[in-house]
Amino acid sequence: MRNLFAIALFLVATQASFAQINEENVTQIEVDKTIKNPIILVYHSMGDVNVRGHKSDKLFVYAQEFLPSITELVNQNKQEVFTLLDKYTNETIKVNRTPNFTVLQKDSVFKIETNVFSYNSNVFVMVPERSSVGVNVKDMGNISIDHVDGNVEANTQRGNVFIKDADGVISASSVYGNIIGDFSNKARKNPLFISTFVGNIEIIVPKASTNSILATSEMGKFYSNFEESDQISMTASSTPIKNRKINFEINGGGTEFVINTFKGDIYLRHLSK
Amino acid sequence: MKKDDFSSYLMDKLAGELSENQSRELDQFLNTDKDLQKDYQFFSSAWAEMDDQFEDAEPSNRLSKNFYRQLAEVQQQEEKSFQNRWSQLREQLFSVSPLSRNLSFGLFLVALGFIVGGKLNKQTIQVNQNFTATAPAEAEQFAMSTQKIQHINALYQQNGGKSVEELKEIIENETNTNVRLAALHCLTKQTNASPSLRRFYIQQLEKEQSPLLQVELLNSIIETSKTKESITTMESMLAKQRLNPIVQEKIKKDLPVLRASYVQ
Repeated sequence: MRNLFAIALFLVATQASFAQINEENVTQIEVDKTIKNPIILVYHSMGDVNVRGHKSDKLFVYAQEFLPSITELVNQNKQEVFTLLDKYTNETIKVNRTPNFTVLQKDSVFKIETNVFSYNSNVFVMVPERSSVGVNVKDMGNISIDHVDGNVEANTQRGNVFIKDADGVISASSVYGNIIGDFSNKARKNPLFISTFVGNIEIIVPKASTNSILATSEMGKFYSNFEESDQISMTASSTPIKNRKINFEINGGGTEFVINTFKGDIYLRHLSK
Repeated sequence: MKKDDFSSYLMDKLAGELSENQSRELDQFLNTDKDLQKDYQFFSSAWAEMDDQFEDAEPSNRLSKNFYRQLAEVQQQEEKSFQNRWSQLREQLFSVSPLSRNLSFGLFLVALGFIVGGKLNKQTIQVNQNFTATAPAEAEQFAMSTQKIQHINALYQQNGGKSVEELKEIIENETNTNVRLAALHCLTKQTNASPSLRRFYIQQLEKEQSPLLQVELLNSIIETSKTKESITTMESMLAKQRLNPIVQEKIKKDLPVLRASYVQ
């Protein structure tokens, strides 16, 4: 029994290692040092997108397929291009079914676009720390962005958004998904716009952070561990509709945070005890 | 005792290996034969001389030193041997419990599995990756929503009420939810309720795809309209059945409140 377990463990580990990144498939692009604020845009159809800033000037892109394999999918249907209707915009879009993603550069903008039409296709991107990043997932997929000094934009239809240690202006939206912003390491000096239709929103800031907050939740609640008497000054309207919007200031007010959710709770907190 | 046995008895006697009975038997036999007695005396004296002349061989000091050095070397080699070290390591590592031994073995297998799997993983999915250094001239102009939101806020601060049309255009044409929300937020902040603006909200609500924008537009309609108008608008929205189910739920929840406030 013990030997069988050992063999099973060995096989599982062997299978798991098949998910390791094959370095041969990583696209590597040198971002010129003269480009002060490169803008990295990722357009992805379905699957998770992970973007991380790093000290180097290189841009790394990697797309990974799990199941079914893209090759198998292409073999199942030889039709490479077909059209379908985007139910959100009512636009007819063309889908290229070849296993392919492209990186286009125009001046300081690098546009990474996947034409992959399959399930569970994940994209990993490493960008120079000074970059601005925009990620758009057309359908279902989570977005994770961290350690980026420039502006950050993240949009997904069904999926969570996680942003950490981003200094620039932030705009994040999801229709069905939670949004978490962890800025506990550094007080933000640039505004933040976050919206989700059904999902919770959690923002973590330093205790001494100075912010003006406009939080809206139609069917959810607002929670905070900032002490109202010392750190929060609140003005709320008396009408029923406006009561769903909370306008208040932390530590005297400052950087604007606009937080919108329809059916979800809002958590604004600091990590200090 | 026979005469033939004499030589073997003699050698044993000289070596002191005869028993008392055999020694006595030999003595009796010698008394009967004078020649053999002479032989015995000769060999006895010869044995005694030999014993005096030859000392017992002892190992030399040099041999002793070499022996102990070689012994130490052999012992060191044995200590350094892989088997010995492995057994020592095994004792140190696994003497605690069989659980830790099995766990370590399991972890070793996992690590081995990863290495083997990584080496065998030659059939990864081929993703054709194209990099074009420069996009064609007709490539679209890239603009991030963060830039657009900043532009809307700047527009509001600079122009105040004069930027209504531009904000309306953004709400109508922009695809990003946050940008449209920011524009709608500025629009409701800076303008007084006017019939044309209410109509714009209603028209926009009918064609809006984003449920969050639907809710915000609905709130804007309620905020800028009289209660009766709001009730009428919401009832017509419900009748059209084009709204997101969750937005319909909101209307069904808000309508009784508005009706109650209108009656009062």
